[in-house]
Amino acid sequence: MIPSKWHWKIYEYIEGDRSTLHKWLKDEAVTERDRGQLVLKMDLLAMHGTSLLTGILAGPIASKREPKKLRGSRIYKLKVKGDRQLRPMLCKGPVDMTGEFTFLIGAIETGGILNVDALDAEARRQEVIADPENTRELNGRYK
Amino acid sequence: MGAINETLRTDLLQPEFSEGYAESFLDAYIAAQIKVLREENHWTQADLAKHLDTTQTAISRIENVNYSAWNIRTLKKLARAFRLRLKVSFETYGSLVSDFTGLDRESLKRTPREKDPELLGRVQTKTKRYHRKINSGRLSAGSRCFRAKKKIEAAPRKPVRRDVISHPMGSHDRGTDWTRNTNSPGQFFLSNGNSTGAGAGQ
Repeated sequence: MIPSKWHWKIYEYIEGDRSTLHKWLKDEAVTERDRGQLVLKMDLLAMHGTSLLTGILAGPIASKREPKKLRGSRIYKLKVKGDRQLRPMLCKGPVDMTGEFTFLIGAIETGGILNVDALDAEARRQEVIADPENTRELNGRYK
Repeated sequence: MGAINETLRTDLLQPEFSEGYAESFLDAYIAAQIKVLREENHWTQADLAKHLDTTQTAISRIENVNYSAWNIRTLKKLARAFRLRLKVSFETYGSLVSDFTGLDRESLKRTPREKDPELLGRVQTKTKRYHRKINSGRLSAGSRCFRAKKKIEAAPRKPVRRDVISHPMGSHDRGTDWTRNTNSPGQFFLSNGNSTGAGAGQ
């Protein structure tokens, strides 16, 4: 039987009045090829979660800036090996831990170093936990 | 939530996007299938590594969806280890829609050669049909089975080591000289050369 619906909900943090991934892809001028790879990974996540595909998410990521502040991190990165190493950060849930992922912040890795710290993602995760209705929205693709 | 098919169809019309999407899907598909097939064989990564004469770390790497440095030689080795054949073909972007939506653990499983019903089913059917015809005496003169039987009967027999043994079924015909056919274990010959099935010596 061919499934016709996404099994996992994919949310995005709202940055200002726009979703964070949309803004990030535009700001970083990500190529269409890289966007294709990123969307495939997001689609696989929406379809299968992390069960079928090994390594689709990497982490949990520790903070490089203040390692002690983020012990027991819940922040993961989605790995895209394209023209640039896209590593958007996300978390499972945080409202429904068995049926949703929330993308928190865009990141790019260069020479093994991320341009965004996991602490920034964690701060947004806490905002989402406090007020999920107003701090995140379903990604348009998975509505 | 929306239908996957419609969203994908629209996206895949964009050239660069579709290339990135398809190439990434290929990597994910291969990695996922290797993992599923390994688990179907009840192998650990170390077990599979032994079959490929490589390390567990290498298997861990190729089962990761982010691995993209495939080569045909490695894939052929994997196919041999799984007792499967490797199929590489160029496909349309349109077919990616059903490939993606149909991707799940079940769709990635494959039956190894020794259990392949496509192979075993045909062999069994032919054998059964042959024996049914022989037993019912319905072999017509022109049939393939009849010609095969005649050919076997006409062929010169290999010399049979004649160890005189007792009748395998303890037959009432104790005067018959039974010999074991050492060329075909389980077959018994009467001393005049007529063969019988295993243990069916009447």
